[in-house]
Amino acid sequence: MEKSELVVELGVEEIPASMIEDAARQLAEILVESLKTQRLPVGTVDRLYTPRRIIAAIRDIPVCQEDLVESIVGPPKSVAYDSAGNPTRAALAFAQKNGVTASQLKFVQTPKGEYLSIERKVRGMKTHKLLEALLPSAIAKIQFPKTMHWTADNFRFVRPLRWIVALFGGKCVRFKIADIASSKFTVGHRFLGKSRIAVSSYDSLKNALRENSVLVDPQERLVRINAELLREAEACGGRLLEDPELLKTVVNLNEMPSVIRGSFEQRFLSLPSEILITVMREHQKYFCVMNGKGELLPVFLAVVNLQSDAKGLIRVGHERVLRARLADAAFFWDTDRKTPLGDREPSLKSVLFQEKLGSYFDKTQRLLALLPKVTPILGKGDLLADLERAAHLCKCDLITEMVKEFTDLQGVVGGLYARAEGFPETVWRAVYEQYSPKSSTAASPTSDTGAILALLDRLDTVCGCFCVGLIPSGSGDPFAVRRQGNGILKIVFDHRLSVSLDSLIDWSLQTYGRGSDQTAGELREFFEGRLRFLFEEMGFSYDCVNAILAAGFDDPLDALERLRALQAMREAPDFLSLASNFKRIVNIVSQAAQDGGELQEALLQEPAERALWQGYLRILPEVQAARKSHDYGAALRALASVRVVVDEFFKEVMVMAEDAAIRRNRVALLTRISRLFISVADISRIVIERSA
Amino acid sequence: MGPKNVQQIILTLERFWDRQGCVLQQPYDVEVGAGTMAPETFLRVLGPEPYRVAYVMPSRRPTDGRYGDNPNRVQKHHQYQVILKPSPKNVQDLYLQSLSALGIDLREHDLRFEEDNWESPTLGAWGIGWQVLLDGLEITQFTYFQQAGGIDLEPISAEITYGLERIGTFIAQVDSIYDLQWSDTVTYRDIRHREEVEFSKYNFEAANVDMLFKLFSLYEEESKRSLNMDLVLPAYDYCLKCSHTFNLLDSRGAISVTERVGIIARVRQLACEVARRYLASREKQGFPLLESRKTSQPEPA
Repeated sequence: MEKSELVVELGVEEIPASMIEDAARQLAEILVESLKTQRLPVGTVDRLYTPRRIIAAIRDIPVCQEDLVESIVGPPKSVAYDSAGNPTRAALAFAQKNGVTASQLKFVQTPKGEYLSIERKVRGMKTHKLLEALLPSAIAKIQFPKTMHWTADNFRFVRPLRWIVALFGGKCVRFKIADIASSKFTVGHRFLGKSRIAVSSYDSLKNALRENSVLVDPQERLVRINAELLREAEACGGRLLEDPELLKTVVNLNEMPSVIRGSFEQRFLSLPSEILITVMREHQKYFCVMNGKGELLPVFLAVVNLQSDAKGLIRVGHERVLRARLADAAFFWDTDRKTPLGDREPSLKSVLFQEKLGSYFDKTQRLLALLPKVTPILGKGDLLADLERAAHLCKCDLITEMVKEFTDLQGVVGGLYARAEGFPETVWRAVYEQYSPKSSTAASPTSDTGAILALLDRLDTVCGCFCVGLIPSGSGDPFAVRRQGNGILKIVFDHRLSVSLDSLIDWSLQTYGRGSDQTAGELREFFEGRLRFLFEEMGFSYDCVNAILAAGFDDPLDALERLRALQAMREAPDFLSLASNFKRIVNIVSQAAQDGGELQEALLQEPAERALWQGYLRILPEVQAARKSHDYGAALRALASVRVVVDEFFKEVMVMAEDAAIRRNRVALLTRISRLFISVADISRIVIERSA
Repeated sequence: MGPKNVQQIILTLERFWDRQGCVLQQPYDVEVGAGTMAPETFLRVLGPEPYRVAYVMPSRRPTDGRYGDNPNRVQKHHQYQVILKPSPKNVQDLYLQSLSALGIDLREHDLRFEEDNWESPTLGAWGIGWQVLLDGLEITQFTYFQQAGGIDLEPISAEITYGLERIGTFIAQVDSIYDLQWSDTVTYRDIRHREEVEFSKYNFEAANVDMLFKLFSLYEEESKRSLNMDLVLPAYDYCLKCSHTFNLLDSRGAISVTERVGIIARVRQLACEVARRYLASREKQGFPLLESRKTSQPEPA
């Protein structure tokens, strides 16, 4: 069968940088999927994109569907022919309905007996014809986080669609969508290319775009930008401050990226580097350059959408914009510091934290109420006074001009001002680090005070949100409560803080004047979900996670340590048979009406049950000691050491003995064993894969 | 050669958009925070009638005042506002042509459209679009209106809002807007600096808070009263006055956290009701501009 290539280019007004890559992926996937449902196999698939276009190219698609032999089943043979072997009315009607004569009827053997059937050949359709309907519906299936409409029909897309190239085997596949007719004309770079260029294939499209100043391959743009960044950084005697996230953004903001280098006045280097970097990175999408000592150089690297800045006009423009921004920042830095940070605390009464949860002043008060309870149990009682000073200061930067302008710098700015005012590092760093970690992969606070303040700030937000019903569900989590929950646990892990979640929840709910058991229960469930998420993100297998969470998670750090030990043990020989026997124990114990009560040694008759009892007595102190020292590897090894006697027990002993007292006694024995295990992990949750 | 001073920039844009079939409106005579709030945008984008309009809109944002000290920030700036309804297919190109008319050579400057979706909680309005950056300087907000006064829009209007001071400093290559020439002989400083000083002082320190609270209530009442008499356009004027009064109270720091959301909601309620009544009123008049050929789209150049 002859095969051809499909190429589709969607020309769109500038697509938001964060949405382009996914849109290109979807277009290719949806096309491949749609072709497959039309019985059209595909060869290699390519996808390319720039801010103004997404392209999918699919090679080796048959130009025609395969013919299909279709069989239509009619009435049973017994109904279709009379005793004389002549077709009945049922048979004739079936033949007529399908446009054949009675002589063309055939039989087919089915499990229910012999039936009449007709075989019909369905001719495969021309792929080109199929694509006329398939392409517009595929394009309409692309999903975006936010869409708009712009034409009279109700078609929605991320931004207005302005041209469509659709070629199959070099010929245009004609269709219309959102008032745009497909064609074989593409569009070059906005300012450096032609606006109407005929193309005939994927290769000719790529060539035409290159000739018209569009680098359509994101990888090529990335390589080009990166090389120019490194070259420019070196040219001014520094080294590039790597920024993969920004790099990805600028790859998706330009069709023909080039790097230009500009400079700013030396005097702005007196501003803290955090502020300089934010101005350049967040506001202007500039890359920064450091010297050998890790200090910023007074230069910036900007990525522009042109071949070059031959006359230097663009550099001058960017320098002027940056100068104004830095002058603002310098002005804020000087003005804000005229008022001591702490003097701003009363003004926090007019800054809303959350509509139903009051102001940031209220939040500060709650943090101050939590500190004396939580700090000592973390074993950091000596930090309490510093933490209280930090709590008073921590939200004050919200009403500084600097944070109003650079909201991403909240916390950091407060910390910088506190440092400039001469507060000790334990205090200013707590303020500085209170919003760390910003994601589950970002760094936790480095200081103890920062960790505790960051933990309590999030705890207060999470518990407060649950109090007023802002509970995350499905994709709805407007206050990013899940991320806050992850933050709490990450801090606990990174700083090895041993703490009771139940106590934290209770104390926090008290500061809201509420203590509903239901809310506490919901919060516990929430943290279980967060732990499950984080543990699986760390790479632990889900059944080990289940085993650990079922055994309790009030102290998340303890749960993590148990999980590590269990995951290591999971690979050990014989562990699965231990798990399988433990599952039997759990089943027996849970099915027994009562737990068997006190164990009476005298009633232990069989050698195997006595051996199990002896084994239990032997490992009990070992497990308890190991638990106390958090050596869960040792605890699990001790537990695992009874595997042989457990095996023997099940082989030799009938738990459901006829004598009720003996039966009860055996259940009591197994109950003790099961409790000892569950104090570490409920290994009945381990999934035992059976080979088929 | 392109324009050099502020009034030449305005004249160039007027000529350009005149050729695109726009009604050249005059600034609306009620204080607004942005050109979008003028009836020629907020009300005209509602309903099926085609419309093209362009006008300068002095825009007041009391909290942006800097006593005339900051080279780039003022409590009153000037927008050049264009509405194209329905949005033509070549709307981005038209906009780029207008920049060329201003003498900006886009092969020598870095122009980009960066995602920025506009939203006004006070007007119950939002749209999808970009901020337009020229060598890193935001010179324009470009928006496809999706909703105004809580009403889904059909057809969709394109809104182009030029920041005149920004474009002026770009063209004149000056660091401070006060150094702009307004005309050949008079600078921006000459005609605007004193105004910035006095209004900054008034907005931040002097405005009578009690009076403003009273005015807010009076304006709100009057807007509702007008609505009850089906006087939609006067009702909208008073809605705008509420909005500006709120902005003044805000710059005086007189609005507490809890009040804030509520007051914005009160203004929005007025705006949404005005939008609903305006649409009904146009419908009752038979959407008079629907038949008009006056705003039919010229062929792209």
